[in-house]
Amino acid sequence: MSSHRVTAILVLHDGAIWLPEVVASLTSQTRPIDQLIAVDTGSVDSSAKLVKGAQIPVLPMDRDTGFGEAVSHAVATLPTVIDPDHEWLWIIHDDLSLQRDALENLIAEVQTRPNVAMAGPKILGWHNRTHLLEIGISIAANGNRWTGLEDDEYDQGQHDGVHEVLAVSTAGALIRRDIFEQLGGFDPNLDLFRDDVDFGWRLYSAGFAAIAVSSAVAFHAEASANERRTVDVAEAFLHRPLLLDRRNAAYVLLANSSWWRLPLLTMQLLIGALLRSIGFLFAKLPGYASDEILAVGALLVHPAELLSARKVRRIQRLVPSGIALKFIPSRWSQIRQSISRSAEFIRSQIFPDEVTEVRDISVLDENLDEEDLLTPATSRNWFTLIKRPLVALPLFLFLLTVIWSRNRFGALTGGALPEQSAGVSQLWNIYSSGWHYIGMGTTAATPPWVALLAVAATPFFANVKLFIALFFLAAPLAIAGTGYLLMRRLSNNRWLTAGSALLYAISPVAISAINSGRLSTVVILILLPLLINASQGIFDLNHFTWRRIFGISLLNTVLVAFSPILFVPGLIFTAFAISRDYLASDQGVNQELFNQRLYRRIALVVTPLLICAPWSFELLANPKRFFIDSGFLLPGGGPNLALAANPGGPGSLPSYLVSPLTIVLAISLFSSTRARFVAELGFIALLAAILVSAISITGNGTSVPTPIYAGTFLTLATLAGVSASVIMLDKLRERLVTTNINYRHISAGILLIVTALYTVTSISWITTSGANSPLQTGKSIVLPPFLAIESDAKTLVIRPRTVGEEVSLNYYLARGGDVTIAQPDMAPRESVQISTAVRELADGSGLTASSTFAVNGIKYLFLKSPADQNFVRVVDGLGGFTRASSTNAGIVWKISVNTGKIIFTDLAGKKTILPQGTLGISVSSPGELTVTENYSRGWRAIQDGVRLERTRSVDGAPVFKVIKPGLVNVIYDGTSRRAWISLQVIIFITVLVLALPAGRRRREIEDVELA
Amino acid sequence: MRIQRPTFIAISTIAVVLVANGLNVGLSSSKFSTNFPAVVCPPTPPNLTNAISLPSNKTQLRLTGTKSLSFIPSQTLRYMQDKAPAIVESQGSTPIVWQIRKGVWAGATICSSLQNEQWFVGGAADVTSKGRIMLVNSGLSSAIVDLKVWNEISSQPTKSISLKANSSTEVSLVSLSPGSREVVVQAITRSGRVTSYMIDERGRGLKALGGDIINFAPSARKDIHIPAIPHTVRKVNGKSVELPHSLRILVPGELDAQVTVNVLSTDGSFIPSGFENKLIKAGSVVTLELKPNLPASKFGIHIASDEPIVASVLSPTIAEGQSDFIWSTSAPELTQTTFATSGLSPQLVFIGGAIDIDMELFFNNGKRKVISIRGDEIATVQIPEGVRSFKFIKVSKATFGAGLIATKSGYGYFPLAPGSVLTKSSVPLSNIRVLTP
Repeated sequence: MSSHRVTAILVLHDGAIWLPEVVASLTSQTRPIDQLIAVDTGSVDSSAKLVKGAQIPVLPMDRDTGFGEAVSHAVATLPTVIDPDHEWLWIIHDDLSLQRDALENLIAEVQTRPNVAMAGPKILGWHNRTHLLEIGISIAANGNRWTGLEDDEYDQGQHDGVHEVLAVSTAGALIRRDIFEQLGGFDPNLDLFRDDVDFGWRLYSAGFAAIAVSSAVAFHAEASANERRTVDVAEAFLHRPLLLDRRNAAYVLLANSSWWRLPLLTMQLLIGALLRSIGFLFAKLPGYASDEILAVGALLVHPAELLSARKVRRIQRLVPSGIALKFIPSRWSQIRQSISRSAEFIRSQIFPDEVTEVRDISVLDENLDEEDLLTPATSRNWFTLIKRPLVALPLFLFLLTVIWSRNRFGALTGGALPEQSAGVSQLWNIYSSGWHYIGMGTTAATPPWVALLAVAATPFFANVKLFIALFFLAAPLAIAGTGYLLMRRLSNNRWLTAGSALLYAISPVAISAINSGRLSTVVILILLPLLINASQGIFDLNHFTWRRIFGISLLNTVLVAFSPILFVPGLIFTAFAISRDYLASDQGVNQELFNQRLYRRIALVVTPLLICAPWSFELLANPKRFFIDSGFLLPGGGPNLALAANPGGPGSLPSYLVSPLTIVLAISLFSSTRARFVAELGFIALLAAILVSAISITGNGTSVPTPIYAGTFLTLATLAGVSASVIMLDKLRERLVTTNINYRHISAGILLIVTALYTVTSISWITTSGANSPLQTGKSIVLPPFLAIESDAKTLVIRPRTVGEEVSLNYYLARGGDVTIAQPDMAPRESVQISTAVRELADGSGLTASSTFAVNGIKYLFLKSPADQNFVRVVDGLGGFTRASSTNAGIVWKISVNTGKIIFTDLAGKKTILPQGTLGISVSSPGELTVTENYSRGWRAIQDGVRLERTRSVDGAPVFKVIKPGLVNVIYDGTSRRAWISLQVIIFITVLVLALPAGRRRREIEDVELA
Repeated sequence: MRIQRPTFIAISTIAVVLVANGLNVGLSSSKFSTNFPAVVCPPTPPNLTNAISLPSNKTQLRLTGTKSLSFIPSQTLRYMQDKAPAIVESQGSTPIVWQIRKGVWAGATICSSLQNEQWFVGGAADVTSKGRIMLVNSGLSSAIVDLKVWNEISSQPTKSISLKANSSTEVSLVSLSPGSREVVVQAITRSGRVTSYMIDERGRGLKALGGDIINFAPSARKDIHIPAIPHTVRKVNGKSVELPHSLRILVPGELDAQVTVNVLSTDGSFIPSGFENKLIKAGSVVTLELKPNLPASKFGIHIASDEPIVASVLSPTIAEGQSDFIWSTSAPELTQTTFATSGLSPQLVFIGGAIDIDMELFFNNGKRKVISIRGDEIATVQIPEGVRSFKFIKVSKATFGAGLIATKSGYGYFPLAPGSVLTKSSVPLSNIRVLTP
């Protein structure tokens, strides 16, 4: 028996659940407790009664008494200290059970360390007693409680030993009584939570130390932290443990840290609280989010409390408070742990732990270890690995892609894909701008896919070119990957499903989309299988959770943003489904069922529209644009090619390479399996594709009628065809073997032969001539570099376009360079004046063409090679054009009339070009300012804080009346665009939050899970 | 049911494909506009008179060298042109210009739109020459024209002429190839809208030897047709003496040419002695004396060559007892076109295998008359007085024509070549794809 005297103080607060075991563990200690006192802080359960029954004296206190106050109250009842170095207080929670030798081991360690004034046990979980909760604690700079352990760390003795720590939990803490009294006990401002860390920090400042002793073991239910009971302490207003915890964490840091660290700490706490509250909002835990903000706010609004606390610590301090910094985890440690947790989370999402073997527990299992030793090790080599379909086919597709993409290693352009801006910031600029300097300028809403592209490119060093290059490089694999995810639901035959995914990746529509740089169609090819996967059981929509509905809505939004035509079949399907729901609900009698489905269907349709607003509203106002995908408007191949599931157009498979998809669909239509339903959907999509590809439209900055590219409909048809074939062929072999030769044998044979033929020929094509696709790297620019120097100068580019034997002239306005991504999607048609002037230029009658160009601010005329010599002669002869250069690239004329962005006309009618200075435009006399852009109500001219009167010129440009000389600022007011974006962000975040998995309050988590 | 299903699928597929193909038929993304470019009439040199026959008194025209670029109605059918060349919006009708130095010589030509290349076969640059080439830039930008000259010895250094916008200039033949007796000039327009004309005017001291406008040929060809050559018979001492003709030929290429000259006349067609497979040296102007020995007053020739050539015939004439000459130049194949001849009464001469032409005459009083011309090898028709324009409404193949005008001041020749042809130009369409490689 040692000479130490230990007084255990058991604090009770509604702990009746755990108390029997707690009391038993206390009374059975191998080193008996010298005195045991219980303090009951107003328990409403049988806690006090239980303890009294165990002959333990109970000191009653109010229910809102803090933990530290309760302990101090108990200490105050003790007799005066006789032997200061050997009198100990052992703080016990009512949800803490101890191993029998805990106290003995604690005493054994502290008696050899005279500077140790606080020692604590290794704390394990109450329910899972191998779960290591704590072995000493600290506090991170952001206020987080720091144990240095991983989540759910299994205790296998890896942290065993005696460790010097900043503090130990008050649960089971052995504290020298004299030091406790000397330091004033636990801070009365910390009623609950973090009082232990604060005490430890003060302990070190007073020249003492704390240790964690692993040989002493306790099991803690953490009832308050886990919200297994209400927190009723006086400071815990709203009874919110998180709020109290965060507030106390900030208090501890700000009260104990040195002055010079306070500004940084305050910032860290504020930013940390903000970020965590955002995180809680996304997890649909607004209560926790408000706790984070309120906690820091509650502390900062009472600075006197903090100042007082710092004063007390200054008085008690023997050594600088920085002594505790060695226990504060470094930022790197925190980052490393965050990364580790994130990686583990992602891994668990992608590769959920699968139960590979379920075995009943039996007596034989005891000998399994020995049996394992006897099992011969299976020899694996790479060859067997390659024979696996999920290895062999992706590997083959990868090699095929590398050969196919040999002209696409680098920044890509060509086909429907314009040149890309270097960074995502430019994409965001385009997205947020209310005015786009394309052609004569436009207010058209930027399509939402631009924002999605910017987000997607951000992890790739914010380099859009890099992202696009990698995207198209990885596209075949991605298409096959998502296709496989869909196919594996239809069959367990991996060769069949993986082979079908490969066929999907080299389908005519996939080849065409990749070769011609059709970003939209490639995205649809990748995401459509995921949408179909997520929409399984869409007819019984009432079984879908709202979270799933909003998740699908988000996916819908992405798809519609890239290919708005998907909205149309979606709308038709919804109308069909609603009518079906009406019948299913006994023609509306079962209104609850009908309404449940109706609301969900409306959400699925309306959400993409709302998120994509105002772009989606522009589509509704101009339905033709539904048929236009992102990028340049390139022609499709017409209805006859579409019949063969080939969308046609530049970069597409030649017509003589016929894919088996139409045949598959045709055969599947007569299938007796569910392939028939899938084929029916595919057949409808195919017919829609045929019809659509016969229509020609204008748009995306072109007035050339262009046959619609039916890539989206053909993706639907292709996916349906591939899915139908998987369903049909699944286990077909077994059926065919057991039956006499019939039509099934013949159709299967035809199908396999055509498929094999297509596979071989299409692969041959894409690895040879197909690789020389329109989408390539290293294409030269159109506009000569010297014209790009004047970034704000408009250049009318005229270029011959050859379609078959027909040569026509096309033109557009360049604004300092070639067109970049997203610009074609907003490009306006040229004004009537410019169109007329160009037409007259071409037919030689345009004597006033140069004047028209000058009025519209066009400085140069560039005729791209191969130049039509007659046209050259006409321009040379018309007047108003002065040859600036003639190179292999083409001929440049300068418009003779002086022009620029801002034309000032004084009262005498004299026109001058005014430069835009840093402070504005300097106007020397009254007159009119003409902005050589398209007219829009967003244009503003401000002089001395007053808006100038705006009118519209006959040429359709904004004109401002200047009353007096001075500086004038001409701007485009993009407030409405910003308002739309704000609304869009709000709707998007709301839907995103609704789609994300909800976080759970700790009280909602089962004990077993917590353990 | 089993039967209905395939039938439904087949019918629906066929129907959709048919409808789709119906929608897809005839799609053309190109649009074209057609117009007749304005024609440019030659300037009027000092002491000359220029009269332009117009198809209508509402014909729009403007003069070069003036600030005003607007076209105004002519208000006359015969526009007496001042010094500056006129640009005429004749809308497909080719105005005939009649130019005279009163009592000395006369010449005719057509007003023509801009030309990339013009060959002038005729003129001299010796001491008798007062010939000049007139360059008209009807465009509003400066223009550059290269003048390539050949003489009886070889080709001469090319001379580049710059013209200001909307202006004209004259270049004397002497300055191009001093001392040359026989010249051929090729005018190549490098930039701008330029139409060139040439006048061959000669005199010795104060004595005028005559003059004429030399019409241009658009290019060198292997087949040359000169439809109308006036054949003058002079009474000398009571005897009829046929005045000889000079056939001027240039082989502009590198290789010598073998040419055969076939004379087409109302007295039959024949190859004059020495004109079959005649070797013409390349690179220098060759003049051959042509004495067809014909009773006819006019004839035409067809020159067949194995190399591209240019050629014309210089014929001496006598008007009012004064000597004059006329340059008959090659004419292109006749097409359905209209010529404005107000105030003129030309005689049209056609040559060809089987001539079958219908012409519509438009009289000043608004009346119209259709006449037909039939013939083998050569046919002529006299346009009556009071006709403001005539239109070929039916033209047989391989028929060539030219007009001869005889007045007191002299003879004039003009080829029946359209001054401007209907130009089909693609209407440019806006397309942002021009801004991507």
